Amino acid sequence: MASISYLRSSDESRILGLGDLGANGMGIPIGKLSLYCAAGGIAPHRVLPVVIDAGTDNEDLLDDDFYMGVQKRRLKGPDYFQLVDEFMQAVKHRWPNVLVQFEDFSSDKAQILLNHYRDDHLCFNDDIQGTGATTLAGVLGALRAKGETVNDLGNQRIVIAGAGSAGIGVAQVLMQAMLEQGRTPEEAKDCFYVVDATGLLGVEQNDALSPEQRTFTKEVDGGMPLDEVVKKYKPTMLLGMTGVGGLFKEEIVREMAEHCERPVLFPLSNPTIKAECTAEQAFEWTNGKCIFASGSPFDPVSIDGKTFYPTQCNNSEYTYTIHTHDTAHRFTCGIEIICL
Amino acid sequence: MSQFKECNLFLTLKLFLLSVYIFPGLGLGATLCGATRVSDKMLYVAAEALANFVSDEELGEGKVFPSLTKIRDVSRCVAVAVIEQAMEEGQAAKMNGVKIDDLDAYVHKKMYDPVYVPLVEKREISI
Repeated sequence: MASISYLRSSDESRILGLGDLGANGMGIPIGKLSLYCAAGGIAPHRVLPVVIDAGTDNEDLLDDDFYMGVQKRRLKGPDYFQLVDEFMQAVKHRWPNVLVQFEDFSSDKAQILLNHYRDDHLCFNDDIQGTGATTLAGVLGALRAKGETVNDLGNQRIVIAGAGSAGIGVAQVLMQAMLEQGRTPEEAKDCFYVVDATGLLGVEQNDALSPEQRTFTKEVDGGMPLDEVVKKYKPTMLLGMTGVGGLFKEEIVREMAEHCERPVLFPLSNPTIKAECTAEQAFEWTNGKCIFASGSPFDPVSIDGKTFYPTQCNNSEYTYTIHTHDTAHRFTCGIEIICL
Repeated sequence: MSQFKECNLFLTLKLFLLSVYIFPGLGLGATLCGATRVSDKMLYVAAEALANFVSDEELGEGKVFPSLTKIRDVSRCVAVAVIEQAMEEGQAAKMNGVKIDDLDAYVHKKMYDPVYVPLVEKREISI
């Protein structure tokens, strides 16, 4: 049984910003599972870190005599999916109730795998679903800070700056939540104004957009720039996922505070230089009225003697120091959670 | 060589994540109740439970997430929400026919605590 600890399965094709680590990415699932134990109260002998070693495209590792993974190029296409499928089947056969957490699969494969397995395996993808749920929780928390309840999500007017995968991903999560709260798809859609570099997404752009982006196009005012959208539609929430530092200019932020008692400002891009505005700017320009969460860390801000604590809302950076434990006692019980 | 050493002895990792508020509780809830899949609604109730966990005091300070020091309570709260949702969807295989009055206490009892359990009884020694 203990041999299973060396079953190095997971495709570490996308680890944070670290690139292709091949089998050396083993530390990531170990770290994630340590959090299951520390934060979730799952017994350590009930979790199993796995790396699917589908090869690596990292030239340094391919030449490294001490690299412990398979020194071949990454499997591609059907061969790759066959390998993952064999793993999924085997794992379900061995531990029928196991929860598989997918992590750090490159984005072209992550969604395909999740869609394929989510209906008949107990599994989820933390990069897609975990991050989505966390952002949703941040937005719902902001509603409570405004003095509303979490069920008021459908009453918001939400401007999303950035129509890339991050921006659209957040829009989809929020829209799904509105549907769960009993709104119709049309009502939910009306809450969103998605703006990218060419302005508000309009129906006339439909041919050039992906199906996901097309959900959020507007009948009128296509191409309207961000500041005018904010002025005209008076949003209650302004979320930024553009990676364009300083995009939320003073007049935009002030306009938010003008028409809104407690405007919600979430510049979610990181690192700090790419944040759409800083915490200090947001609190200063709104006289401390805004509810602020960011993708980059900011220090607390003091205005008129009152201190405001900016929340870091996604991709927060923590450093964990992990001692590897003696694994001898690890496989005494059934495994409950596998982290890929 | 340095990579090899690091991986085996002492591992310092930088993890970029805040989903630590969601996934431990989600995993705990899903495995405790024997859920057969993770539905969209389960993710939604997990996010809702997290948002509702933030205290009024924290909201007043402008925070929209609870303090990380309360992470175990957050996870328990998320787990309870996930289990309730799984039961509603008829997916909680391990909960079928089981009547639990206090789900929160049940989850609390099932959580692992990293405390040292002595293998032998202590004795007086004179050395």
